[in-house]
Amino acid sequence: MVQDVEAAVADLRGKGVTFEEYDLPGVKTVNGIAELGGTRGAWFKDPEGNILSVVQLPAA
Amino acid sequence: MADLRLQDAREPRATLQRRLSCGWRGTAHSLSFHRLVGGRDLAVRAADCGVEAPGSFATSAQCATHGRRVVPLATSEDARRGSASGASGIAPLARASAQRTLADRWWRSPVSRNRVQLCGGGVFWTAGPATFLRTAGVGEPAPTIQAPIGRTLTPVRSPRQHREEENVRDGTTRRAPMGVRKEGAQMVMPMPAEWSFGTTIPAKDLDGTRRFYEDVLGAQVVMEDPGGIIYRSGDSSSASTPPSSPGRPSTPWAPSWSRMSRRRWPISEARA
Repeated sequence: MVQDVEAAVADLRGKGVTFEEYDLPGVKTVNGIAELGGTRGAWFKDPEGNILSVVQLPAA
Repeated sequence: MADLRLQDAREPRATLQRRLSCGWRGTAHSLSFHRLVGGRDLAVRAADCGVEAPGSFATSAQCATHGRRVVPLATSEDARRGSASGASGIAPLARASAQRTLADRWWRSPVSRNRVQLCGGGVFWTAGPATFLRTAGVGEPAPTIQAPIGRTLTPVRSPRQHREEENVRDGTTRRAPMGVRKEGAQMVMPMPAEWSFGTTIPAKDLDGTRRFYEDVLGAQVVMEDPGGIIYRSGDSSSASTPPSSPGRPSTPWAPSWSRMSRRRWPISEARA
């Protein structure tokens, strides 16, 4: 989990990480980031294809 | 705190089985877990239960009884229930729904006390200071969620406390094996949220993948052994399902990445 998903995404993109884009019912990424009920997440793959993500939970 | 274990996906199956051996017998690649309870072999087949897609695998944690790893997320009851909805051709979204249902039931159970956040197509679990996760897609090897080797995952409750609580729950005073309810009851292992969990990420190219985790993500090596590398994985983590929908390949459990803590974590602590 991260405090600022946009910053995390930008940081990782700067290191060459490519984020997945999804356009599904209820889940649509914009610039690699999806918002789900206040939670924001972005998914990317490691070189083996394992999907990882960075997630920013809503502020309590 | 959670740990991330990068493991050679080519590790012999026999080794995987040894890793999973204790009260639970797990065959990671055949996607099944068994436990002998009262002479009955209660099988939990992740592939059948509709909880996870074929190729994925039931989650695991520390065995409370033997201090080793492996606790299936799904119980035999879950497997039976899931089988009805887990017929061939089940849509990934339906599987996701089944995942949410099971995850909700399991993680909200008294023994887990985990907080669950359900968000659209995904499930986010927050398990106190740590979490777990697991990922595997169709056709992928079935890695395990397991405690890092050499690390003891200690429940907050002592065995005696746990036994006493179980006796109160069961209305008995006998000594029951820790973590195992009496025969005939639904098989449930305690999974306190206070435990630390580890995640295993399979890698065929261990050297190349470790460069990604270390150079790109900044993961700190905790320890290494011939079978893999254990990384520190931040102060907390969560599990989530990436989006899925009918017609798309299922992407079951995927780990979420936690920011690396900069605090050094000595190997001696990892082996404690």
